[in-house]
Amino acid sequence: MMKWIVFTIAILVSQVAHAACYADYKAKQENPLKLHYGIMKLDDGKCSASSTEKIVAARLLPHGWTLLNLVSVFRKLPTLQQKENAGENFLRY
Amino acid sequence: MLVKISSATETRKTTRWVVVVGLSGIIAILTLTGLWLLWAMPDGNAFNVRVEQIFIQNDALTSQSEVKLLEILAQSGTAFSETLASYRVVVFVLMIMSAALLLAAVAFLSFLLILNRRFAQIETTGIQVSSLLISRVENLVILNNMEFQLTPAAIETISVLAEARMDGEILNGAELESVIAGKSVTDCDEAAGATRVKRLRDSLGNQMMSTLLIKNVARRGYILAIDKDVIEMI
Repeated sequence: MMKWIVFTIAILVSQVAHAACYADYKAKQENPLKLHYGIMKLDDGKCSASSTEKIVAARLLPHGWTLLNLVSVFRKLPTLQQKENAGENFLRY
Repeated sequence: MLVKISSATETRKTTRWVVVVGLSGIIAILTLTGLWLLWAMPDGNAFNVRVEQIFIQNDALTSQSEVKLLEILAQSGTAFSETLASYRVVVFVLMIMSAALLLAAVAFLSFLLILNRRFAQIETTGIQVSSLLISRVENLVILNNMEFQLTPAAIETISVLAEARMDGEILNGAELESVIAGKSVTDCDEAAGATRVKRLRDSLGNQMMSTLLIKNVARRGYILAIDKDVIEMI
């Protein structure tokens, strides 16, 4: 019994420690101008805006998108509203 | 009279200065406007940049329909840029036309100054002979529009002088006398010709002065035929 409790706690702790980092961003494509709002999942330990920005930009670039700005960086799961807004760009890149 | 004195060279200098400054000014304005037209007129991309800015600055504008709307906005702006290009052509044509008008204005200004100079010269020369008509039958000389009655001898003298002038010749007293008297030059006296010229001058000068300066008003007397403002006593 004790073993199970310890195991569960361990799992919970590890989940919190390795909780995914999410970033929602705005990007554009030129000629003709295309805009999109999207959410990305990152395996970034720090999960800070400064370090995330470069990663997001690097991931978008091969698909022809230029990062405009990061709206926010967060650890908790994206809200339903955010998911809806991102649409097909939710966890796409 | 001191106020009215103007030098022809001075006016010429001013004219040249006006033409140079005017033309360089027009060229400067033309180039500046042309550069401004190319540089400052917004192109189609300006709309895209604006839309992009709106998208960046408003975090609330993230729903799919809103993003789509912004894209449409940018596209309509790009379509308008073609209209803008035609506007640019129209503005350029207007600019060229106005430049031509400016050039014409400067040209007229310089003409005006040249005419001004000419007038000043005429004013100081006193009398400018534009026509001389000699009527031998009536013993009449018409200078510009002034009629002078001369003696037959004086008419003969002025006719000979006029013919010599038309041939571009200069006559001395003896030659003049020989033509009028019909004798050879060796037989003629220099003084005789000089006397004829003196008489012609006296007669013509006297009549000219009486028309131009000292007028005789019938049954009243004499008056100076000039503006009283130009008289000055030293």
